Amino acid sequence: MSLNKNMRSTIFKNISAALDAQGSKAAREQHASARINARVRGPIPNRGQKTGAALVDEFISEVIRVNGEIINLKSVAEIPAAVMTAAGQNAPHIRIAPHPILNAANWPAGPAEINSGPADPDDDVGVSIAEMGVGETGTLVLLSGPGSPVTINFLPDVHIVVLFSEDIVPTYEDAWDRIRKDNSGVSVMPRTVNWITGPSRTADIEQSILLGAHGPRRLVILLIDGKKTHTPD
Amino acid sequence: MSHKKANLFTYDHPTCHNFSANAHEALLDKNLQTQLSRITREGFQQKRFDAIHRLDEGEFDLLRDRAQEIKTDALANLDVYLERFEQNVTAAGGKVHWAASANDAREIILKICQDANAKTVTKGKSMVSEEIGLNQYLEQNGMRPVETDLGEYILQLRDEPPSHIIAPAFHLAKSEVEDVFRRHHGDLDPARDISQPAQLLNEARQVLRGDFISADVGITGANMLVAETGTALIVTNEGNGDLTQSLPPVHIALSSIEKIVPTLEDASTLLRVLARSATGQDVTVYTTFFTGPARPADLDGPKEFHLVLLDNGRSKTLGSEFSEALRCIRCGACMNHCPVFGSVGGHAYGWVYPGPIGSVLTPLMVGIDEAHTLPDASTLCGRCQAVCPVRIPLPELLRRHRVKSFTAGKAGWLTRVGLRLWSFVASRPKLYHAIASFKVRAWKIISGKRGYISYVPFIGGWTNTRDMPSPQGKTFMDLWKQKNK
Ligand code: SF4
Repeated sequence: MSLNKNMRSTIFKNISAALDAQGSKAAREQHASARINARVRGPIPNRGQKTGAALVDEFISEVIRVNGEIINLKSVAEIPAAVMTAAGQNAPHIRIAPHPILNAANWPAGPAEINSGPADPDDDVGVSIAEMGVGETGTLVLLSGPGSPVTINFLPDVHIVVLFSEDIVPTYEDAWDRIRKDNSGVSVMPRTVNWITGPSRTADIEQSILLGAHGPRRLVILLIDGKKTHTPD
Repeated sequence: MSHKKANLFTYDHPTCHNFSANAHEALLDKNLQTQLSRITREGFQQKRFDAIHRLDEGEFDLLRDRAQEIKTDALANLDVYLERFEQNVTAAGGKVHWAASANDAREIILKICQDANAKTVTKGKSMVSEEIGLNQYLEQNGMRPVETDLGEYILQLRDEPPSHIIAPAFHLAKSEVEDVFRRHHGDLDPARDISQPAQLLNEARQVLRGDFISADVGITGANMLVAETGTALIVTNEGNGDLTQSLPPVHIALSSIEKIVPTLEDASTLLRVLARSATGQDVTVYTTFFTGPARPADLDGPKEFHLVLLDNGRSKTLGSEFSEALRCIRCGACMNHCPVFGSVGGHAYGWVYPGPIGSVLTPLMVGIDEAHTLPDASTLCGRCQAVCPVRIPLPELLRRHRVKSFTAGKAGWLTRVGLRLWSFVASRPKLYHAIASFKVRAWKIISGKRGYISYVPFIGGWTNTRDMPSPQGKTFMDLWKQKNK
C-alpha cells in the first residue's frame, strides 16, 4: 500500500517536472476538464454519416463484408423460429440472454435444450440483444448487464444477435451519446461495452485468415424492422 | 532441426549489441525470408493501402492529424488525465496500481494472483507484459501463465519472444507450429492430421478452452485508457481477450501511462486509424471497453478489477527530446513498411519492440550501451514516418539517438576518423570539389564498361552484397555551374 503511494508520487513528480515548464498544473486541470466536458468529435468519415434506408443498407453490406450473416425479420414473434433455423440440427444446447424480449418469446419445447442466463462451456448457440448497430463499419454494440451476460457473446460456437433497425446509428460517436443519455447524461459505463464486427478470426499462422478463433465461428444478426419494444406483439 | 535459436533475447537479456550478427543470420534464414515477404510486401502494406482507399479521398490524413493532436494533448496534460482516470476507475469499484519499474509491476501482479490463490492465469496479448518479462516471473513463483492469443500461445510453447508487435509468430511456418503442437499436446492422437492452419487453429481452440474455464485470474493489456470514464479498452480479433477478462473471478489489466486519452470520442478517432494502420481492417472484430468489476446485478464478469499502470522510464522520456515517441499506439505500420525490418525480421533487433519504433524505444528502456546499434539499423528512408498514424518523426528521433551515442563515444574508430576527415573536407568547398571530381573520374575508370563497381575500399560491408552504380557524367556542382553560366 505505502509502496504503491511512493511509486505513484515518483511517477507524478517526473511528469510534473516535464510539464510544469509549459504551464501550471491548475492550467492543465482547467484545460483537461474543459476538453472532457466538450467531448468534441474528431473528423467523421462520410461513410459514417448515412441516414434512413441508406444507413440500414450500409450496415448490412458492412456486416456481410466481414463474414457476418443477416436474417431480416418483421417482428419479435419470428425470433424463435429464426434462431432454430440459424442454429441448425447440431446445436443441442441453446443459451438465451435473460432479456425481457427473449424471456417472453415463444420457444419450442424441443429437441434443443434452451436455457436462460450466462453462458456455460456446453452451449452451442448464444442469443443476445444488441443495444445498437453502427452503420460506418457494420458493428454491433452490446452493453453488459443483467439482461445481457457478456459470456454469451464469446463462449458459444454460434452467436445470434437480435438488432432492431431503428437502433442502427451512423457512427460510433452517436452510440456514445446514446449510452450517456441512457445514463442521464453522465458518463456511467456498464462493465463492458462490446463492439462486435463479424465472427472471431485469426491470421496468426502464415497470415491465412481463418474464421472462428476462440470466439464464435458464426455471427448471425436477426435484423428486425422497427423499434425495440420490451413486450412481444 | 532445433526448435529454438540459441541467441534469442529475453526481456532481461537483450541481444541488441549483436545486431549485425543477428541480421546476418536472419538474411540467410530461408524460412524467415518467406514469411517476411508474406507479411510485409504482400500482406500488411497492401491491406493498409486498401483500407485507406475504402475511405474517401483525404479522410485518412484528416484522421491522422486529429490522432496526432489527441495524443499530443494527452501527453501535455498527462498528470491530470491520469488522476481523472484513477478517480473514475476507483469510483467504478476497480483499483489502480502504479508501477515505477518492470520489477514493481511484476511484484504487484504476483501479489494480486497470490491473494486470489491463483494457479492458472490466462493471458490476452500484451506487449507491456513482454516488456516486464511477466510469464517468466509468474512461473518462477509457482503460477501457470497461459497465453491465449494463438500466436502468443505458439510462442509460449516454443519458449520464444514475439517477433512483431501485432503478428507475434509471423516468422513461423505452419510445419513449425505442427511440430510444437505434436510435442506439447502429447495426449492427442499421434495419427491426427494437423498439417493445415485451420486444423492447427482448431486444436489450439480445443486445448485452450479448458484453461479459459479453469483460470483463477485473467490478465489482459489495454490499448487505451479513457480519462473521462475510467474505461480501458482492448482491440482483438480472436475473442481470447474477452474470454480472459470475463470468465475468471479476477481481471488484471496491465498498461502503461502514455496510453491515456481524454474522451470516448478521442478513443473512437484513434480506433479509426489503429486497425487500418495495423491489419488493414476498418475496425477489429472485437473492441471491448471495460470499466471496473462486474456490477452487483451482473450475472457474469470478474468480481475484482485491477489496473496496473507501468512507467518504466516513460515519465522521464516525457520531458526529453524523445517525448514524441510516447504518442505511439503500437499499430506496427512502421515495421511493416521498414526495409530493414522487411529484410531481417523482428528478433534481430534483440529486444521486445522491433522495427523503427523499437529502435527509438529500446535504447530508452535497456540503455544506449546495449542498444546503440539499433538507431544505426536504419537507412532513414522515412517510410516509417510517412505511414505512422500519429505522425511520429521516427527518422529524426533515430538521428537524435545517433548524435547522443556518437557524443558518448559509442561509434567505432573508423566512423569517428571518417567523420572527422569528412567534416574537414566538407567545410572547405574548393578541396571538396576537387576531390569529388577526381573521384567521379576515378570511379568511371574502375567500373569500365560494366557501369558498376563491385568493390570500394572501406565499404566492403556495403559492396559484399551489392554492386555500386558508377557515377554518370559530372558532379552535381559541375552541372550546377554549367546550368548557371
Ligand atoms: S511508431 Fe507509429 S507506425 Fe510505429 S507502431 Fe507506433 S504508432 Fe504505429
